[in-house]
Amino acid sequence: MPAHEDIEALLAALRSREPGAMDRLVEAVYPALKRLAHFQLAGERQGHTLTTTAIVHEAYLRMATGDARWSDRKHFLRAAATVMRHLLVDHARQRDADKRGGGQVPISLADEGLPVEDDGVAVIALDGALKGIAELDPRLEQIVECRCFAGLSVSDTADALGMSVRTVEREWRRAKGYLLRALDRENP
Amino acid sequence: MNAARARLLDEVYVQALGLKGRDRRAFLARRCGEDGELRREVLALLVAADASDDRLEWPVGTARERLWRAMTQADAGSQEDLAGQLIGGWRIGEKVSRGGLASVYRARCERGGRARSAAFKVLRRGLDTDDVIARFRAERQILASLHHPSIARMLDAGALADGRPFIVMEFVDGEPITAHCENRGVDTAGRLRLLVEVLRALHHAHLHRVVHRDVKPSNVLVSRDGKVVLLDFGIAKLLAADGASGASSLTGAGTSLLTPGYASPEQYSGQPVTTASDVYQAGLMLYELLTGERPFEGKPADCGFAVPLPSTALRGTSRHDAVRGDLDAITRKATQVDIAARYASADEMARDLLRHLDGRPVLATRDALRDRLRWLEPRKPWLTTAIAVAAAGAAAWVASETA
Repeated sequence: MPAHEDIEALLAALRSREPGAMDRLVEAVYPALKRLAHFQLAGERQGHTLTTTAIVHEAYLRMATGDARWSDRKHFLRAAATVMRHLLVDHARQRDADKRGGGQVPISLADEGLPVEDDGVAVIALDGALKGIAELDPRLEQIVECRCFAGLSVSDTADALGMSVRTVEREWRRAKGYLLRALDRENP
Repeated sequence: MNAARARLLDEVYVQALGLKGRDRRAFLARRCGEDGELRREVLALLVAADASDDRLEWPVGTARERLWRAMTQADAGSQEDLAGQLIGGWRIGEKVSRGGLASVYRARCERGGRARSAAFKVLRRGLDTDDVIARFRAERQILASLHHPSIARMLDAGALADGRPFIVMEFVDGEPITAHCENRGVDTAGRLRLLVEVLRALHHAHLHRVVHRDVKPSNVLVSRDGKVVLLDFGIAKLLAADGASGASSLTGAGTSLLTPGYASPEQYSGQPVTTASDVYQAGLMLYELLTGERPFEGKPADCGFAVPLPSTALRGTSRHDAVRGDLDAITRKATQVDIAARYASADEMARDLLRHLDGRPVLATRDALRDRLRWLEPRKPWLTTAIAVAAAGAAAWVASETA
């Protein structure tokens, strides 16, 4: 964590495309997300069959109570959503490169039990589509980051972005049209 | 598509989204005119906009899960190992297990004369957030307040140089109660006696205002010499003086830490968790000890909390008749969804099990009979009495015949 860099300031830096802003935001949020991942898997070991939004939500809340920097839930959720998108795209690209480069897909425990179809391709396609619609309306990008990449509910998204639930619902529907069209183009 | 075209498309799309049926069709015909390409693209977007969110949740949800695993695996690679170190007079041995939040090592005391084997439990690095540390400290405080032969004893506690707290517990060389019973072919009476020990340990904790909240076979070990030890007060909590759980941040974490398939209805619904929750979980364990399977195994998630009767699971086996009746009734009374209908305490459940073992009438059966006759009461009180008299007569007759 860069000492006590303000999350709000980081988000603003990112919006104005300041170089290195994303790296700094990832650095700030990654430890919290990793802890969240541990909580999730800890839950799994106790018998949860699948990761659930309930756990994610609970973990957010617990991180927030445990760490003064995250006392503003809005900022945390927004930052987490942006970083999740970045990490998901990065991870998908990495896996894609491994596949192309190595010829053989490295078999790891992480991939066991998951569908073989490439969700990574979908993530990369969605990221591309998102860049396109951000030009039309930056709110769409924020909503999709929260709803889709961070898996937040409509009401959490509304909270995080300071919008009304109705606005989120309406704009989510609008964004969904573009996203699914992008996926369709990927798998005609 | 150029930017101007994309904006035009979006404009028509957004307006059409706000319209339905005929209005929408008329609007598109008017707005797109000869531009068939525009119309087709808007229609495709409209169809996609009304599709289920699941179409996105599948790929992205999967990608998220992959990412979580990758994140924790990278972390697991750099796992610390304290083996060999000397911490607070304890020589750390091999790592026994790595739970979600804590690692457990074997350890030996190097102070004093007698070498003592112990379990050294320390919070994992990177997870030492304030709330987790608070929970760990709470476990320490709870363990310090409990002294019972069937509750794993705390031998020592302290903190590593980096501030992470540790707890040293008595090392229990044993296996989970269900595995112990299966592997050694323990008979039904033996199983019930083990459960009585568990209930006594729980009752001791309850008297100290401690609710375990995670009573399940993997937290109840039976040592080689047959001693029952209740483990893992990691999500236990201290009750407020009035007996109900308060709304501290510590309890707030409780709902997400429940074990599906073993949680009580009140844990699922986020209601205050009291000692009755431990009684419920003891009831589930009784079911599992009797039948060898978990009550909700393979059941749909929405099957409710009505625990099936153990004898139903044993139908067609030689143990069916031994379980039907008293043990069905005891399981049912312990696992009532209505807290008030359960045993009032773990001790009361223990005493009912002992009554059954002694061949005396059990509380639960009496209650079940009363419930069954209740429908008669308001309208036909005489009938209840008549049935009771007839039953007593029949019992007397049976008794005189068999005497």
